[in-house]
Amino acid sequence: MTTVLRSRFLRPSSVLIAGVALASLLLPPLLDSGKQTVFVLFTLYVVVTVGLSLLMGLAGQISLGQAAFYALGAYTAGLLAKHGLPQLLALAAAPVGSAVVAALIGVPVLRLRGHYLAFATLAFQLIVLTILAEARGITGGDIGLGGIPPLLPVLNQGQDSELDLNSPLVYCYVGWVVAALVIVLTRNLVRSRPGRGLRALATSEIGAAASGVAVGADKLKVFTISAAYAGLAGGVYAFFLEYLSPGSFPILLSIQFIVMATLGGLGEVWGAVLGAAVIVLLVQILQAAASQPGLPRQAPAILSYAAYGGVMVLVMLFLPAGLLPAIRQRLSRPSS
Amino acid sequence: MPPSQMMLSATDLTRCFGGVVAVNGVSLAVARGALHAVIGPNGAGKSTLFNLIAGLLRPDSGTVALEGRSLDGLSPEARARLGTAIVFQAVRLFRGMTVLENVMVGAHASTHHGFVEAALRLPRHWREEPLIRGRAEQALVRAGLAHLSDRAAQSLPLGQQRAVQVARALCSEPRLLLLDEPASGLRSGEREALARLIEELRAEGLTMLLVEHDVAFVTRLANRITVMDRGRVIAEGEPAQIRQDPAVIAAYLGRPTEAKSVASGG
Repeated sequence: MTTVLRSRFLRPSSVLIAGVALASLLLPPLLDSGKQTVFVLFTLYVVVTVGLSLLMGLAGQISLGQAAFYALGAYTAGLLAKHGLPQLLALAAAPVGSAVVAALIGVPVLRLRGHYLAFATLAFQLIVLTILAEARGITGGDIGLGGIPPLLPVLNQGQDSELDLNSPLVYCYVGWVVAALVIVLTRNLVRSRPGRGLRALATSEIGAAASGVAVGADKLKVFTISAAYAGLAGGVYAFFLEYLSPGSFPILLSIQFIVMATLGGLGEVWGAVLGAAVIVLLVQILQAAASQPGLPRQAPAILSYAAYGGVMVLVMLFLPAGLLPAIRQRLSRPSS
Repeated sequence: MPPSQMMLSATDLTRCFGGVVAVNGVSLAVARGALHAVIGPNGAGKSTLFNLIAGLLRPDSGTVALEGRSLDGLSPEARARLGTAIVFQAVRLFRGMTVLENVMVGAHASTHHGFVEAALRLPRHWREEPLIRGRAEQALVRAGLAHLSDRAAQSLPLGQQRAVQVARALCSEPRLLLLDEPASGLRSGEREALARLIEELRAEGLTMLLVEHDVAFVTRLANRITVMDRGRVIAEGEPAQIRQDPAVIAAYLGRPTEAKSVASGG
């Protein structure tokens, strides 16, 4: 029995999952609208981080340009909706747009490994940002893309009362549903034949290939899936803000995703959720501290850079496997 | 025996590394149901030959065929789908996975459900998963590892890690099992257990190619032995013949002139 408990892929008890789900459903109405906005962004970060954690932890690949796929999804949804496509279709097109780009660049880029792959994906994001800033006729350039219609209808209740469904509170639940969907799909994938193949190829590509795992194709698929998740999150982001600009998708955002995935525990679906939650809370605290009167205007940004760097160093030193595996190990130790 | 009755036939394989001809015009044929061993002193080119046959290295010239079907240019995963399985000398177990999960990966070659079917839990996922699990559990029983199935694979001692690899290979239900120095680094008890497992598999009619340094281990198990020295085949025959072959004795004791004259003669 203890060996079962010690297994690395111990399922977090269903009770705990149900508790997290319930708490996160009850939380939004208790928040003010500023904090609701933070909650929406949190759910979107969870979606991106789950994909990145899958890519880094299971397929052993790295992407320093995940925010580029987030941006591509956002612009895909924003542009299509602005030009008349029904909003839900535009949202559905967001992950497709990012996935198609990932599948195309993945063919050459995934021939690279380690640092080279990291730099190639970083360069990819810089290229995407440059294109978004320069293609003024389409994207609005640095000024941004405005006038994106809201995702949900504005209900007309008689003469002068309107019910606008597009409040931050409603987007909290839109984000929640998207995150839940991504978590369930990913968890299903991990615990299955293709998921085992991915976990295998992360350790030994030769060993996995000799067992019949299509190593190259599977790596490309995971890269594409992680891009699709980022694109889906970007699509929700576009409708939520109704305005996009290249400045919303800095390299720092890509680094933030990596910090979230690594902190939570690579290859762990719930680790991505935990990592995103911890970093979002940390950034909130830092921003409150950095916006005290008397501090320079750049203080919040500088503090986040310092915080991401500090968190990475601490994780590497003390939690190399990440938070969730460490907690799990601590919990299972007394019984072994 | 006509080629069609051969499970594996390698013809005229050659592979150079820089100026060194590691494998030089080697041919061998493994009959269906046979345990064919390749032996030779250090540096004879056994491992290179193994990698050429397993598809992990490309030959400079020569061909490899499985039941008459050419394997040339096929990737390791394509070869796995055709029914070959490999037990590596360097233990390539998958970290962070249990023994059972490691063995379940072995079923990859002969099962099909993919990303979408797994993520959406479509019918084929539900059909195949219990099948894969059942086969893996059976393979673990065969390898004497059933009691370890929930352990982390990388926490096991070397002998058991090798056995996990054998179980993973068996889980694919291979037609041809390729073993690269499976006894190297094992203690005598572990070696004995491995020899018994290989004997059982041979008795069940599994075709195996075994590359091994340890002559005693091989002569006990194999039906047929190919002896290599310096990249060439210097003798081939049944274990009893091989034990008395002067070229083989010379190669192992290091009298190259005699070995050469026999090699060119046969």
